[in-house]
Amino acid sequence: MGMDACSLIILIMFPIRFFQSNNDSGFCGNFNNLWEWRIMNFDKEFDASGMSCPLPILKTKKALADMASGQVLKVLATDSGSVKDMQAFADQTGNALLSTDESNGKYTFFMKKK
Amino acid sequence: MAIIATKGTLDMAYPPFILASTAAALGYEVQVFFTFYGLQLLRKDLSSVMISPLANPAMPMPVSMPVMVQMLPGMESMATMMMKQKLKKHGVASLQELRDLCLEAEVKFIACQMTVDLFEFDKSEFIDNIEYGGAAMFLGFAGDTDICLFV
Repeated sequence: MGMDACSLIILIMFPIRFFQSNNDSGFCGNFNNLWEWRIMNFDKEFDASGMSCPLPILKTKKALADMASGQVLKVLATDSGSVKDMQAFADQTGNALLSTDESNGKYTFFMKKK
Repeated sequence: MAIIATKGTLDMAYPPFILASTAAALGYEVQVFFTFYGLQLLRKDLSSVMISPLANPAMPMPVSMPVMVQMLPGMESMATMMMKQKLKKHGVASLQELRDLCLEAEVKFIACQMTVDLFEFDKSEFIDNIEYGGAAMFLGFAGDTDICLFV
């Protein structure tokens, strides 16, 4: 058989991702998330929406505590300060921040435990 | 990281707890030395920690208010209540929550023994997992830290 559904989606999403690299808002933002969701596997997820500094960082630290090395944590947040805070947290603790994504005021982070 | 907390009002209670809990999450070893009014932050019951609009012209007010009105009885409680509502609405942790997170992350709290004696505080009013000490004890730790702050 030529092509399964999965590779078809990836083939379609690649040009969309490329096209929208200069366009972060609205309709395309949703596709952006969909694309991330397709490729990023995660082992645990928590929602820090509505929380202000420093809670997203403190809760991330807590969530990582009972995870194994190499596992990926997905964090949702609405605090715009968390973008730089997450990066600083990753730099300081050695956990890898795999991706940061913004869509309609919602931030999605994928963090891989050291 | 070493922090000296000397203030006992709601607004000034946040910086030491926020910095201590975040530093602990980033892997720093943290000690906070509570002295003078800062000791109020170690009480079991934090409801006496309040904010006052008096002598604080930088505090944003919903309506501008002459100082003569700000000094009326009950204004402090009202300002505290409104501030707590605002903090909650914006998803900022309560002092109690931040303090618990600090303790959970093994931040070490030191209460100034001299202040306890000076104000004749009863140690049973303070939370249990703290140590009592003086300036030399704090400096012994602070001397080796990378970050040392006075709040």
